[in-house]
Amino acid sequence: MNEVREEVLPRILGRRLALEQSIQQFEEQHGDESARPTYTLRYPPDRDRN
Amino acid sequence: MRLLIATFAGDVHALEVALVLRDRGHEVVQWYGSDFPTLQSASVELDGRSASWSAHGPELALDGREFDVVWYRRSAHPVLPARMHPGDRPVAQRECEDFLACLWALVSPGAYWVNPPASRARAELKLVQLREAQRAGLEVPRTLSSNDPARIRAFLAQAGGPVVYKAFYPAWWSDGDRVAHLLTSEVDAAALPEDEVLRLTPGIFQPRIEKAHELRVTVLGTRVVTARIVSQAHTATRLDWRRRTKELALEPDELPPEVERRVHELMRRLGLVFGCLDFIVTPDGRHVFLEVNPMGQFLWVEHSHPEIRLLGPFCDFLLARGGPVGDECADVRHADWFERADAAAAALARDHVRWEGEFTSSDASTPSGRPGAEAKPEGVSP
Repeated sequence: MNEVREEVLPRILGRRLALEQSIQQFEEQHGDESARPTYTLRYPPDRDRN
Repeated sequence: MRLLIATFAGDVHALEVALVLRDRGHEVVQWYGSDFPTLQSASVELDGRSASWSAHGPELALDGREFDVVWYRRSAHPVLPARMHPGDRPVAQRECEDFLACLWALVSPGAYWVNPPASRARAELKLVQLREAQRAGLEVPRTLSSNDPARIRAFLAQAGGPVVYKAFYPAWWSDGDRVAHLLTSEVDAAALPEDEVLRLTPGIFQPRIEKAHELRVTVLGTRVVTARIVSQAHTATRLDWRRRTKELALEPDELPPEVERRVHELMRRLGLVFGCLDFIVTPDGRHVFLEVNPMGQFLWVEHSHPEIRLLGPFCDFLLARGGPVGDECADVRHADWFERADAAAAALARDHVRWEGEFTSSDASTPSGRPGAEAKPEGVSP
């Protein structure tokens, strides 16, 4: 019987460099007292921020 | 005055401005783009030599009457319902997008537009921004944008120092309770994927520029509001201040007159009347242009530093319609309006189709498709 393997696809550069964290960590770093990202006053962020 | 705002559910900026302007006696209509097509009906009719258009839906009853000002804030994309044949979805989505583009092109041609849609579409192209900034006399980083693995590897090897990678678009992957957020990132040859994968996504590569601090420059017509971002005080924010914004400090600042003149020249070249620009200021005082956001977020600046006023100036900028700016909203402060706007945003989110934006991808092994495509408001079954 043939072995069935799940193919692991390589990720693009942007995904390799993306900062991984839990949602809780993200909110701790960006949220105000109500755990809301303040720098944009809500997601989504600017379309083309640097 | 009669104003139209293109917006989406949860858009605090649009709500706050609308609340202020209504309080001043102006008529403001908010057009929630994602309500189309499930909650909104719109029509364009041409007959003989005449043409008419209309749009109706929650909080929307437009009959083609002209507006004085159109704030083309964020129009949001049409959102199709979850229950739809998957083979029809891309066709219907394209048809919706094209129809709405036609409609917006016919809405209030005589109004003062912030920003004109054609200018905005061009100005959102990062490489066009950088090219026009060069032409306007602004310093821009040496830049390679490419999907050519050989060019990318050579750029990294020849840079003579650290190189950063930037995407054209914000990206955000989610998988359960974990997220991956793509920001400006340092990159070296070891981080690059194999060439067959590297070529699949063109990127922007620039030498890492040493910073004294950064500037967020908001242009409202002839007025320029500059905030210094104290990004070098914390290790986490030195490369990209968005990595940790909670304690990020902002201070009032000003552009040197020559840089400000060139900023206005850039805006003129791009056909923009409003924009949020980002600069690096180097330790030796050079101002390096990074980008302009044709409809960037701006109230967070006043939120962070109440004396860097933007809500009142923005409202007066809209009301001026490109002419002399008055002081009708000079006493308006974001702090007095934010809670009301935020509460209204939460309440209105229940009545409108939610748009998650095109920033988010699933990181799960089985892709679930566009997140926004399955969105719908609570209690509404389109």
